Amino acid sequence: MDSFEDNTELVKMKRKFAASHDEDDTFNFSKTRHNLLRDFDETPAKVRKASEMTTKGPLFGSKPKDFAVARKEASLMEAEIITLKTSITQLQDRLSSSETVSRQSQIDHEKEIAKFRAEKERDANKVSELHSKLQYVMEKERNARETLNSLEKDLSSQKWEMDKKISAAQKEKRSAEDKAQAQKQKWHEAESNLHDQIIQQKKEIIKLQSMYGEAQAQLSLRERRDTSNTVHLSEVDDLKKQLKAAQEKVKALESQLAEHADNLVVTKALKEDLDLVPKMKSDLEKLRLDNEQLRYNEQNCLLLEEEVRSLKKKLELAETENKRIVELEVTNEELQGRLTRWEVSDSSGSRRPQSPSSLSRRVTELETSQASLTLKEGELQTLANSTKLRLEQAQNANQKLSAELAKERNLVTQHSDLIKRLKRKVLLLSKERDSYKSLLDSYENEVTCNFDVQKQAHTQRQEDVLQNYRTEAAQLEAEISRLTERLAETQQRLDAAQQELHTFKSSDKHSSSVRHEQDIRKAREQVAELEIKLAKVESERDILEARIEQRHLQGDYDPSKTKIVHISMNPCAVAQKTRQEEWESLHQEVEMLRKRNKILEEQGGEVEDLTIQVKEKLQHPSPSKELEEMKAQVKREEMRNQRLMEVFKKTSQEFREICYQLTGYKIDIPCSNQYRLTSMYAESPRDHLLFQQNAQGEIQMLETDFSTTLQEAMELYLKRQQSIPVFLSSITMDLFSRQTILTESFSDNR
Amino acid sequence: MATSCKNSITLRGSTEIVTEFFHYGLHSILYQRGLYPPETFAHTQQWGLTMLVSCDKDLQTFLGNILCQVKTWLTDMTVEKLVLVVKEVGTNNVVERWQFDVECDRTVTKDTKREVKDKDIQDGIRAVIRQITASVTFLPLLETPCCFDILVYTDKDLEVPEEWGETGPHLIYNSEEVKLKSFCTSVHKVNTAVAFKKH
Repeated sequence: MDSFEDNTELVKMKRKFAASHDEDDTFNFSKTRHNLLRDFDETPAKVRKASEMTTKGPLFGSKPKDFAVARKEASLMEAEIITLKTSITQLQDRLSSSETVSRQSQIDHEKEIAKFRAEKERDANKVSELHSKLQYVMEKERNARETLNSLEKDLSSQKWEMDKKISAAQKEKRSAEDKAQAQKQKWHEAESNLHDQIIQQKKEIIKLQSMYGEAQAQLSLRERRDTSNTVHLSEVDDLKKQLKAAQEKVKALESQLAEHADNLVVTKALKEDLDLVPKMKSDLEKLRLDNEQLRYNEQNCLLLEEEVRSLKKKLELAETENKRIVELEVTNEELQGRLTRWEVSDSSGSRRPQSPSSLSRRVTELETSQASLTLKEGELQTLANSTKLRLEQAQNANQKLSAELAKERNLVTQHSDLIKRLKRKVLLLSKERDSYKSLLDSYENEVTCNFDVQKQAHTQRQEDVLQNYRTEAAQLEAEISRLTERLAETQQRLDAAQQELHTFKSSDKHSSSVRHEQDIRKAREQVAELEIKLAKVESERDILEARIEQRHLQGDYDPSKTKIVHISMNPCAVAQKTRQEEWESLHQEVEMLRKRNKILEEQGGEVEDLTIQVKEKLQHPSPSKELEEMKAQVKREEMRNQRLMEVFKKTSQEFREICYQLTGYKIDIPCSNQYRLTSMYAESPRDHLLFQQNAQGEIQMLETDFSTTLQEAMELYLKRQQSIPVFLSSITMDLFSRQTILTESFSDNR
Repeated sequence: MATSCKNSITLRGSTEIVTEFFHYGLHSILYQRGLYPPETFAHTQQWGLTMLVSCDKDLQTFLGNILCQVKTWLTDMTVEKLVLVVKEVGTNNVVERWQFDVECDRTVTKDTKREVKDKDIQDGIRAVIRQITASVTFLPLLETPCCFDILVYTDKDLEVPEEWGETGPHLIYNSEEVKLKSFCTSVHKVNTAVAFKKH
């Protein structure tokens, strides 16, 4: 700031200097300059002094010599002034720049101040926080000290206690040591005692050892004895066993002996029997002979019996014939008598037949009359049958009528019940009406006000209702009478029908019962069938139910009622998608690697820009690939062709087969435009006809070995009638007839 | 457990129980059949059983979405079946089919309350879960990599959200079926069955 003020002073000074210079050219510049130069950076007071000095300076300006110098000096001064001015302007620039710098610095200062303030605030906050922390810590410390104090107290008390305990323990220890000492002494004593005892026992042991030696000697003696004893015992045991075995043997032998005795008895008995055998043999032979004789006799007897039977039959026949003969004789006599009588009476000349011839005539007459009668009888029988049928119809009608009657009766009873009920109701209603009337009357008597109208209306209504009921009752009665009439009619009809029925019942009963039985049987059969069906159907139903259950378990559903939904992005779909992507990427990679491999193989392992080449190759598939595709296509086409050929062959085979079946000729094509026909009935496979089709489409027959045998047919059918089919069929007919003749003759021979 | 320790049950409570059963049932099937690596499953206690629940985030969100939707459908009584289908990833063949048939008592409304013992329901659920765990013994081994899908049988006229699509029943050709136990909340009855490919 000081420099700033200096500058203003400097400007003022300059102005004064300029003024003085204008007024007076006699100016001692050397001094002023000196002063100026000297005072340039001095305080303003000094500067003022200098200016005063310059104004007071005419002491030197009196000499004219000095003027030139002064002028020079003035010009110098001017130059200097100019330089000074420039310096002033420079200074001014510097001033302005310094001002801006100062301003900037001021702003910076302010900013810094603000920063410092903020920092100060933060520090203050920190300080306060630290204060609070300090206080907290202090409190904690205080608490800790308190606890420490208490703990120290506790410690001291515990220490004291522990000291006490230690002293007690030391006392105990001392006492225990004393005890231990005493115990040690005791042990020592016991040890010495035990030493003594041990010595004694050692002595005893020595004694016992000697005794043991004796005992061992004895023991060895005993053992020797024992071994001999055991030997003896084993011997005894063996002997015992032998004894037992011997005893068992003895027993077995005894039982055998007993058996032998029994056997002896049996053999004796058998011997006796054996003695009887030769006798028996002779007897047997005799008996056999007898038997044969008897058998022979029996056969004879049977024959005789049969003869007897036939004879008896004959006898019976003869007897019957005899009887007939007798009867015939009797009748003959009678007839002879009659004849004689007739003959006798003939003499009287009556119309009676005089001879058997006339009688026979009579008989014929009678026979004709009988025939007519039988005819009549047949008619009557048919009549009877028709009446039976009618009777059945009538019976059916009767049944129907009876059913109707029952219905009608039911109706009538219902109606009568209804009527009764209605009558009762009517009675009740009439009573009610009477009561109402009486009530009304009483009311009328008691009160003569406008109740009347209502009551009257009420009664009117009641009466109307009553009237309705009455009409209804009348209608019902009419209906009942009608129904009773109908009932009577039906009763009559029923009676008539029943009478009819009675007349036919006796004849009808049996058949009806049989029919009933049949019906019942049929019905039973039907029932059985139906039961079987029911069982079947039930089992089917069960099966179906089980199946439905199974379907249900399998997750079947009714698409008309339900639908199945799922979240489209389910884990399955996601997994499949990722798999697909993975597959595709792997596929691509494989393709790339394959190409790479191929390129490497082609170039012998030295390739530049391998990946680029691979990419190019992928983009432009190689001609070999196209070739492969073409080959595949060709293959496909070939396959198709083959298939078509197969189909064609099959159909042609079928066609030829059917031609052979239908026309009887097998048609082959040995070479183009030639057709070989072999008949179904040809006698040898070499018998065939040859035809040729020429360019105009005409068919000509060629000569074969077979055709030479058919000259007649060729003449007739080909040349005259010009028809190949007729010719062929004639051959067929001819061959067929030949074959059938052969077979017929063959079968005849058989 | 909306109605635990009480002797009456509402439609909401029943739906809650059935949904919970589906949650644990589906998780344990996925664990038992080895569709997800066993180390991604965590143990939890439920109905007195130690159940395994997957920690796979995608799986959790998927099952969560399905069960949330199924819950609303259970309250509307439009769910007939919930089916977990196990398919081979490579061939897309269905090899296993876990079917939960849901029978709804349509007389029940939002305000009806049914007397039922909580213990009985839990016993039923426990039995079914145990059977699911035990069924590993007779089911054939899944040798190829498999994945699963969940189908819901609903009414034909039902409007479904956008992310749901219609699909087929995913039947198994030549299958064998085993019926497992069922449980009943007196509002919903859930029958469980598993069908698998015969070998």
